[in-house]
Amino acid sequence: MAREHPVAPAPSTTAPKHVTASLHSEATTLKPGTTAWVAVDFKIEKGWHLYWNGLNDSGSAPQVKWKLPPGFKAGEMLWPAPTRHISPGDVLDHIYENGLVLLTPISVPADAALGTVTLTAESVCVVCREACVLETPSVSIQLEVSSHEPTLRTDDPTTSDARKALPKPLKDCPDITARVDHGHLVISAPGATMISYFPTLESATTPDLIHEGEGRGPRLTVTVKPDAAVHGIVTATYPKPKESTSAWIEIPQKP
Amino acid sequence: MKAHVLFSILAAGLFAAAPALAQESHKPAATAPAQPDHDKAHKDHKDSKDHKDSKHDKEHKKDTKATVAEVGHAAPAFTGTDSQGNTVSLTDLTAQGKIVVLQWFNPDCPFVVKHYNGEHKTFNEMAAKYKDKDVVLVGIASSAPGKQGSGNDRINKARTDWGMHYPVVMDPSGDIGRSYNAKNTPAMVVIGKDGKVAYMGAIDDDAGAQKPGTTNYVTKAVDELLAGKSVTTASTKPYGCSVKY
Repeated sequence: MAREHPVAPAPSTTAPKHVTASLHSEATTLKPGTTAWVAVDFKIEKGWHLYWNGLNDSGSAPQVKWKLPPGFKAGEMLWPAPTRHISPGDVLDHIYENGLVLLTPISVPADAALGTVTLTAESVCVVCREACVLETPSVSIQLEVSSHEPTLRTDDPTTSDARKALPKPLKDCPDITARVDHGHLVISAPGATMISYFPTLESATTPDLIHEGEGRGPRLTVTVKPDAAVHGIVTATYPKPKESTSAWIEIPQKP
Repeated sequence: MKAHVLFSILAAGLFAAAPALAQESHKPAATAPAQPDHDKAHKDHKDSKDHKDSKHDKEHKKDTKATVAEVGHAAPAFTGTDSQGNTVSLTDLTAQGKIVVLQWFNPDCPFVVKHYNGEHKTFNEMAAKYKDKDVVLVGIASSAPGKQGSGNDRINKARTDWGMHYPVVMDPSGDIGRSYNAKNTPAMVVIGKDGKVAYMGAIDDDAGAQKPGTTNYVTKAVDELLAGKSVTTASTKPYGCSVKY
């Protein structure tokens, strides 16, 4: 079984930590020539938050720098849907409270030597309550490179839970529709009690997102300028016991 | 706190381009639309049937927001007291023919700290670069009393620790900050000799909290103004901590 052990913290960081990190592997072993998935699991102290990597008025998203054996490569991390956070002064941010798990693909080279390898994630986190502090949790995990077919770990739900929490492609969410109509993004989710829209940094400008980005009911209308494609996450919240659904929307820029 | 901020109606009127509504009130914060919060944002949600009304509301709001700084328009006048007790007046500085660079400041914000504790001391280097030019750098501390980065003592300690030779105006009410729609530390504003906002946005092109960027938008804008050119990048997305209003 893989063991996780934190690397010694940087010498300058003696203050109490508001965010801690651990690494989790989806499979029990790594097979040469395949892509494995690992998760960086940030636990966030109550009352504090980390930032999404999309549009925010303040803060910045956690950055992860990987230290991997030769030939191993980390791909793009997958981010779950954030929630809205408004601070005095009309500061709108999209954040994570309690925890954030970032699934990351790691390609294992075909010529990887069999045996134990160490994967290390060095992260830079701006973690905020009212005030922000910079923390740099660094973690490592030791895994076996084996020629056997990898099996999914059953003793640790971190990666499978993270996968379930990821926004789905809109086409896989028949209950959610989104279209742009005369400068308005119109999102519809019948039965939803609330809809939230989280634009990425590349998405069309939203001049009044603070008022329009989230609303009660099965329909949300967000003013968008026709300056780019619409690209972001939609979260539809349903009455219990049904859970919320998050989907990626991407609507091309009108010619 | 004895810091006081007076938004001078007279001063605003001096700027030919000052929007008429700038004189509606001497407290820009009071003219801003109601502050949203989560609940209000929900209540305010409009579906398509009252969409026309919401559009009208928004246009109206935009009008009443005219006292807030915008690129190409007169910079909202302010007179404040710096952390040393000296009076700082934007109108006076402009009358003296200065280009004024405003820097929203919170010495405990990581996005500010990175500009003072690393190899490159962004703001001190800027202050030194323009020492003999008609350019003044003015920090603005808009943290509310008791919040992070508030109070003369904290600001003066930072000025000493970091060797800052430019003033930091105390804005505990947040009035100056709101009149410039400042959301971040360090949000930056460059005001030309004509009293108009020439640049608003980030200090540079690295929005992270670890190191300064490679392109400094503010020095670029100031250099262009000094050369009598128009500012090529007049607006960027600011980054940093939220201002602790």
